[in-house]
Amino acid sequence: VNSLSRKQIDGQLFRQMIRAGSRYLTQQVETINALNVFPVPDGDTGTNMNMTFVSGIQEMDRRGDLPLEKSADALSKGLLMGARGNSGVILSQLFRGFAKRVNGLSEMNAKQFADALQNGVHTAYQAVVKPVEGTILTVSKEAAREAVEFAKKSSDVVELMNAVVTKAKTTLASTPDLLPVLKKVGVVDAGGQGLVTIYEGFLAVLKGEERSFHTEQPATKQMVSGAHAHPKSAQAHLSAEEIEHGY
Amino acid sequence: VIIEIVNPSGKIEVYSNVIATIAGSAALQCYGLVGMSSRKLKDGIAELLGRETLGKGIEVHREGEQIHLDLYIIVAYGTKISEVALNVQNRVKYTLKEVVGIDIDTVNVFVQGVRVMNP
Repeated sequence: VNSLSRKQIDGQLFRQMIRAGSRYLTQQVETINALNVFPVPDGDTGTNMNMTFVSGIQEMDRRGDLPLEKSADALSKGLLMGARGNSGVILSQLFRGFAKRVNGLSEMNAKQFADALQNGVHTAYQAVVKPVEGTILTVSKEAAREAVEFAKKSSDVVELMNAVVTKAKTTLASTPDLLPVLKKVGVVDAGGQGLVTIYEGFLAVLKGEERSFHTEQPATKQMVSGAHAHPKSAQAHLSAEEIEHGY
Repeated sequence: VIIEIVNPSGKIEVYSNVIATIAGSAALQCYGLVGMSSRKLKDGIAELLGRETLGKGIEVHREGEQIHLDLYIIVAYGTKISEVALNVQNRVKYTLKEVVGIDIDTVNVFVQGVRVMNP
């Protein structure tokens, strides 16, 4: 069914991917907010990630149509300046590492794309003393590892992104096993959900599904897992006795 | 400094070193923070504190009913420092409320160093 095959991502395609990621994220803000129980259950992860990403895109678009490396650099700067919340700061580091790795490239192939994702993870993990697993960090790490492995077998960036999204989703589903507070409340990690949503936007563009600004809801609703199907109030399920602190 | 919590069953006293250790551990979980630092600079350089001496990077003050914390931190280069500091404030306040049951009135963050890593 997937007739589209691509070997390269240039600046224009990269910008389309980023914009689609942002649109997907915007649509999921409330869902992601409702999942937010860690590190502070204040229900703003979706809002923070969205504002961070919008800031990145504004800077990227302000610089205009540029080669991949320049657009990635601009995005990285915009994300840094607009970073909000823990997940926003992490997002800015993921793309800072990404941008460093594509420095000098006007377009990237599957292997370079995978390496850039991997370098994003490397950079993100350097900026924290005690990385808490079961978060966006874990989702990004497993997804990048999958990308690197996949790029050894295939040079198709569409298939690679598909593998990345699949891995990101299964890792997201496992976050409650890694971070006890998530399991207690019955949710997956909010920041991890945000990253999956962004990656789904990337994939939609690569598959040629994302042509207009008016997109359908991505299929992430079911990731609000288990017993509490109503994403309204993950925070309400937290009571003081139940909170598992990692210190 | 001793924080007192009085309830119908009696009195609970929490010593400031307990507050400091919990605050330090909570802060270390925050993204973008690479460590606590001692209050005094050595030759103008902030010293990164190890796990055992975390508490040295935190001062607890009490003014009447109000509790204030001063946190001395080192952040990662390339992060938005104001946002990292804000995340630290929120996380520390939340953790002390949940674990010790006390409200911290102000959390002051002093960014004493920035560490550059290989990106």
